[in-house]
Order: sequence, then structure tokens, then C-alpha cells
Amino acid sequence: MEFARALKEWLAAREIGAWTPEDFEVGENLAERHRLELNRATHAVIVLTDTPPSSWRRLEWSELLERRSMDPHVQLIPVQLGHRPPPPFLRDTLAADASGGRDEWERAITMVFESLEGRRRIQREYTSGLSERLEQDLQTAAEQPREEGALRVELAAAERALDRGRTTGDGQRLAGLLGRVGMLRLHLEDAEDAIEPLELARRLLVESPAVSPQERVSTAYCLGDALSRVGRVNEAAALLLSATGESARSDVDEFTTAALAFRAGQAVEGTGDSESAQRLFDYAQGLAEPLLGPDHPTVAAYRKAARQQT
Amino acid sequence: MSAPVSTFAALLESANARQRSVFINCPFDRGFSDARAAIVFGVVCSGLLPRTADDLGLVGVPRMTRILRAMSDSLYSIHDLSRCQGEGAFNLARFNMPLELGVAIANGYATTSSENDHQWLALAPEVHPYNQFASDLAGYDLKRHDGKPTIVCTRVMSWLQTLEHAVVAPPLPEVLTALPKFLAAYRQLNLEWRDEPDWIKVWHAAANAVPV
Repeated sequence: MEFARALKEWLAAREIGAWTPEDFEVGENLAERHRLELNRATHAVIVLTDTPPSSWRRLEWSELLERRSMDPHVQLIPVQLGHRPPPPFLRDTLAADASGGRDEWERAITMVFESLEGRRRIQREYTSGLSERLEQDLQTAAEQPREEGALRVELAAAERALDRGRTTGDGQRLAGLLGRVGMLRLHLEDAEDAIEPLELARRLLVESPAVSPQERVSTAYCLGDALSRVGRVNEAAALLLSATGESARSDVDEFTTAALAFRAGQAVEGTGDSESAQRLFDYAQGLAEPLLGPDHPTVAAYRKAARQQT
Repeated sequence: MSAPVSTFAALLESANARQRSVFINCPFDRGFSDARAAIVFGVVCSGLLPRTADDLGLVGVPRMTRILRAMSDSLYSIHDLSRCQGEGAFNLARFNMPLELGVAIANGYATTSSENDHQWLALAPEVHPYNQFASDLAGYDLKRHDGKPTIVCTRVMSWLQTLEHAVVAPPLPEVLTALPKFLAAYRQLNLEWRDEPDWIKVWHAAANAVPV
């Protein structure tokens, strides 16, 4: 705070107005005043010390960051008084360094002043480190579904819950339990045994007007998948077509409708009706492309499927 | 029988896993699905690991134990109070989230070293009387949002970028441009897994959508 006071005095002598959290007046609402000053400022000097920032300080910084994301002219000027690494949002900005002690304050204040005057604005080379970290993480965690053993334990728990819940009068709850058992069996490559609970769940959901369309279509998606896998493609196609229609008519998001249409297209393709399949693939592409862009792998898969029909 | 674990566990065994873990405590209903995805994406774009009570697939362990374990394994947590208002026939509010926020606040005071203090962020809808039903929170400045994924992601990332163990995220406009790609992948996973997608797949989808 002593540095902030010194900086404020120095700036005041040069007719530059500054505000610090010490400037609250008795009776003021601290949060409101603080927000007002943050919104008014064109520059923010952030003093970094060896003390870990408090929760309040982090929120203050994040308000500043949001402000800067809306107005790129807002400039953040870090001053380093300690040796603690700066927070990520300041790591690509050169700090006015006074980490050597009071003797360096004057030089740091001059740097801040020059920065405020627009005479000094040095951006460090942008070094994110994110891609390296993600690459390392992706190597550590291979993409594979939950281990089969874990899925089996989940299935056993779901089946026990279903046994307990069978007598419940709540159709929606029972449908949820059945759907979960069916979905887990499907992911354990047991499509044959997944069909019965999913069919029951689907029937109960159709009879429950309070159920969200999303729940109905996701159950239909899993059931359609299971039927396709065991070769009952005509039933799968009819079910997925109907689910695509329901999804398109209701408030289900367009991407989900596109995914259903694509799955329906695959099932219809299996029945030998390539013309209808192409229409469905085109429809899926038409929905997904504005959301994801033409280069997205999902859109590319929809496009490729449509092309293969011609 | 020993508890089975998902492949996400491999990541959590890495060095500094606690310092990189962010426990996400938010509604798991469909209405909040995109906002939840936006939180996950913000976490991954900051080079951190999103955690939930179910990320390790420990189905035989009581839920509260799973929550406590995941939270104590995380230096950071994000809490959303959107569903703390009356709903259903009995006009009841869900209080799991304030309960878990309480655990996080307590965790912040439980450690002896300030370096290991649990840090938390609480989010609330724009018009939400949290300071009436949980007046002890009135002294904290909760971040407000309107439920839109872009706004939620902005609020979350602006906080994550102040955390020491995060890395410099791509510029926010790039993150927001990439967000729909992850939302699409997340919806696909929800469709395939009936809204309970495998956490490693969610994390992978987010990591693959990050604009690097």
C-alpha cells in the first residue's frame, strides 16, 4: 500500500488522477464504489507482492479482466514488488520491476508514468504453455471409455436401483432407471440386452407428458443405436426418424437434432433407401454447419456421408 | 472389492494434480447443461483439470464422500447457485450447492499454509436473492450471469486467469469462438450417455476444442 500511496502522490503532482482502495469514504458501499472506479479507469496499476492474493483481490482482478475483454483500450500495468510469479493474465505483460527493494521504486514509478503517457508499452513474447500442457495431459490420459470393470459395477448398481424402483408409481423415475440400465448395457457392447429396458423406458416416456423432449430423444437415440447394432434396421430407422421429427418440432437444440438426423440417415441407409438417407445427411449438415463451421470434423462426417449416397 | 477407477485417474496421479484441479459444483439438469459445459471449457482452456464428484466413477462410494474427496483433491472450486430457488409441486429449492460451497469456504480456512488455501468462485444468476436465503454470503461479491454459455465462460475464465497454477489462456474471443465446438461435442456425449457422459470423454472433447 505504501508503494500505491507513493505512486498516487507522484501522479497527482503531474495532474494525473488516481484512485486506490484507501479512498473510500465513511458510509460508502464498498462494492459499488469499487465497481464504479473499476469501470471508470482507463488504466489499472496492479501491484504484485510476495503475499498470495486474497479472494477479494482475485475478484477485483477478474473484474478488470472482464472490463478489458469488453474494451481493449483498458491497459493493465503490473508492478512487481516481490518475486512471486505473476498471475496468468499478466504473464505476457512486462512488469515495472521494483523487486529489488525501495531503491527501485522511483524507476518503477517512472516506468508506470511512461506507460500511462503511452510512451512505454512493452508486451512480452506471448508464451502460453497451454499447448504443451494439454499435449502432455492428452498423452497421460488415453482416450478410452471408462474401464469395462467400472462400467460393470455401475451397471450392477443401476440394476439394483431398478429392482428397488420397479414398484414405484412414478413412471418418469422408472423410465430413468430403465434408460440408465439400457444405456450402460449398450456401452458394454450388449446391444441385445439393452433393447428391452430402453424400449420400456421409451414407452413410459411417451406416456409422460411432463417429460422433456430431450429425455425422450436421447432414449430414442440409444434405442435406435441398439436396434441398428443387432440388425433391426427397419425398426431403428422408423424410431430415429420419428425422434428426429420430434426433436425438430420441440425446443431441443439444433445440434442434437442434427446428430439424430445423422443417426437416422445411417439407419435408413441400412435399409437400402439411399435417397432418403442422403436427405437426412444433408439436413444434418445444414443444421450443424452454421453452428460449427464447414471445417469441423462432425460437419465433415455429415458431408462425407451425404456425398457417398450420390 | 477395490473401487474401480476411470482413466481420468491417470491424470490425477500426475505431479501437482491438486494444484491443477478445479472442483465444479453446479446444477446437473438439462437446463444448465450448456452453462456447465462452458465452465468445463473455461477450466480446460486455462490448463486446469475439471473435477466432479463422479469423475472417477466410484459408484460404490456415498455421494457426499465422493464430493469431499474430489473437493479436498482440488485447490480450486467453482460453485453455481442457479437452482437455489423454489421449484416443483412443493416449491422446494435444492440446497446441495450451498452445502458444498460451505465445505469449500471451510476448506479455505483449514490449511496452515496460505499457499494451499482452497480458493473458490461462486456464481449466481443476475436476479437472485442469495443474500436473503444465505445472508452470510452477503459480504462476498458473487459473480452474476444470465445463464448464456458465453457469459458464464467469460466470468469463469476471468477468475481462472488470476490463479497461480493456471497457464495463460488463449485470448477470450478465441475461446468464445471455439466454445460452440465443444458444446456440440458435449451435447453428442449427453445424447449417447443419456446425460451422464464419461468424464474422460468430456475432458478429451474439451481439450481437443481448445484453440491452441
